[in-house]
Amino acid sequence: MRGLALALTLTLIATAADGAAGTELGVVYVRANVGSASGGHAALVAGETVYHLQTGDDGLYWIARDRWTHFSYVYGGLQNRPLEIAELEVEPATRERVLDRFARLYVEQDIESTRRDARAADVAWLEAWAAGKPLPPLRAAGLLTPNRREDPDASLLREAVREPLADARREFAADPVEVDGEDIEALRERLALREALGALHEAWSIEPEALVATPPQSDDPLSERERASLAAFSAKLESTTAQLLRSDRPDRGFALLLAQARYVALRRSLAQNRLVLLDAFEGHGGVELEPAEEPSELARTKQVEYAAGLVRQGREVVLEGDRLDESTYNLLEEAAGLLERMALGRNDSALLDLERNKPPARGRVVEAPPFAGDVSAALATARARLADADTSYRARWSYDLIRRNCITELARTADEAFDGRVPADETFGFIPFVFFDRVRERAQVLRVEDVPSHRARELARLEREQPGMWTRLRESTALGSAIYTPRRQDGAFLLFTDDVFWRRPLYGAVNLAYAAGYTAYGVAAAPFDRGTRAKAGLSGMFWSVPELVFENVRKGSFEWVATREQGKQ
Amino acid sequence: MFQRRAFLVAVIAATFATYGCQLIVASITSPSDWISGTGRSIGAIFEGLSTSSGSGGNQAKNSNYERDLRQYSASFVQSGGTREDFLRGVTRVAENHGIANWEAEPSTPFAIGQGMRVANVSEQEMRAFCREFGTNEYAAKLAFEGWQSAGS
Repeated sequence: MRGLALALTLTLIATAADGAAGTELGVVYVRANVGSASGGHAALVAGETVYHLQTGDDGLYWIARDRWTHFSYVYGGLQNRPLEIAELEVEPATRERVLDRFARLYVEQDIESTRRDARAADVAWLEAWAAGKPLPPLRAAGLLTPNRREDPDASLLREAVREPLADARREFAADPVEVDGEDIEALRERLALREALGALHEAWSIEPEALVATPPQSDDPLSERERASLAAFSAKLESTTAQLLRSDRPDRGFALLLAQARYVALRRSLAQNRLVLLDAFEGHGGVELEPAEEPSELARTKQVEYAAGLVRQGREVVLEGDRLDESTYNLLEEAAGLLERMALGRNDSALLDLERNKPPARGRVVEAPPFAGDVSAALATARARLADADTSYRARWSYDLIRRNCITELARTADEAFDGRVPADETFGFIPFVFFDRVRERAQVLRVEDVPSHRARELARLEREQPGMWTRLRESTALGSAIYTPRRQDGAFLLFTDDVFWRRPLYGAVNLAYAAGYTAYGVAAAPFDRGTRAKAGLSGMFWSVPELVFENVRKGSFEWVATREQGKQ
Repeated sequence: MFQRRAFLVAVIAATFATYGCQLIVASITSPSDWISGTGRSIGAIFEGLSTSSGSGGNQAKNSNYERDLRQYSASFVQSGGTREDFLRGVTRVAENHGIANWEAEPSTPFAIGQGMRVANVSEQEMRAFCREFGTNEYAAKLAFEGWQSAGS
């Protein structure tokens, strides 16, 4: 029975998730729910690509590019919000221009943020020099270790690139690394190149800590086709390395270090007949995020199973399917890194934005020549540059509740798709549902598609399988529901009100009374639970108030929702 | 309907003091939700690859790479900067798409050329650019083809 239920769930979710995947260009309205974006959210979707804007606690907004599969899973699945998609009738050229505008903003923001980070790194390096402390880790230098020289696999690579390596070393020696404080970023690039040339020349081995520890259940031996793919890719990395050695790219040190580390990992995979991969997320993020609520053991098990399935799927598609290149190999590294973190229960901030690939970049502190000038003056200049970069970044990407928020910027960027009929600065235009209503009414909309929330889909399935009053009664309560498990982050409530209308005020009154009682219980329990129950009670009371006047915000949420890909495992 | 909506706006506005802007606009969604769902991004690419043939399966990803690089190049031409700044930007865009050795990707010079055209770089300027940056003749040729294609 459970198997049948799972299969049906998977089918329903797959159907829903496919909703916008084929949309040429559309606006998505995400309905309200408790938690972040309680007033709803909006996005632009084109095929599998979704653009939306988010804000953080730092007063800035950023442009997120996402996959529809991920976006609909988080908002429609985990956060249980119904989605509406208004498909727009636009010329292909208009669609392209709108997507170009989003891509332009997306890239400009990323480049500006990267430059600001580089200025911050300059300051950190100069501060270390000024204080006589070790320098910060150099990006990607920690993929290989000088403590293990003459590695047999690295020696093979050295042999393959002997000539260009000798040329590159000669050229590098003619222009020694100097530290004058003028361009610390260029210095980091020179140091990375020095490390890369040294690593190749001395055949450094891979740093064991830079590898992903694959759990035994995902550590199947390699098939013949997988071996052939890996062997071909390692041969390609030989020519890549030779090409990079001949290049005049000033920042090629990073790419060289990565190529050598991957080469050794590939050769080791072939020798051990198991997949050996670098950890894609080392050197990125690194901040451990506090979960809103500790996941249950079941949810954690499901997450690990899903990530293990991803690694298997990746091997099948990329290695067995003859699709191995730099980019797809990086996806395999990411899948393995994700699996390791899920198995350890690590909420690494590097996992927040997987739309941007994460090439392995483990850092290591390296030796640098002594500072040859006035370090205090250089530090003052670097700090001033950082302050300028910060000011300019804030000036462009600061958030304003009314004039520059997630909806207004979406409306401005997509303006051409609406024929200019949905101005971003119109009264109440910053409110998601108002914006979406205007799009529906004024733009050339081909159709509006509803994508039900996870609970709504599951409820429909249950009512088909077990029709009757008892099912409806049971599923209308948070405590009795077979679909929903109460979570404190949803607040305390007893009755769902998103699928009723006339009874909503009555249900709201019941919820209010229940949440008030729960708050009293929470106050008594506060010494033992740090007030989490009391907080859930108060939140429950707060979100019951709109229900008294026929409005629903709270819909419940889920810590795990099965998906189609999982069903394929 | 409008009255109901207007009422909701009033309710939301009245609760600003408690919940701030999170009530009305999308602030960052719960990081734990985002991480729980994060593998779906990778899964979606694997799915896309599995339903297409050969290495062309990464087409959507590649087209985003080209678009990003085209827009980056156009933006750089308009804002200005040094050769090193430009190359660092190309590296960053490429890395976001899992590409470290971007010089080996034919789409790199092609998209850069397209970006030049988007930024209204003239044919004469484009030829000069190819001479300056294109130590690799093949790449310079592709960049020029990209410039030509963006104007057609």
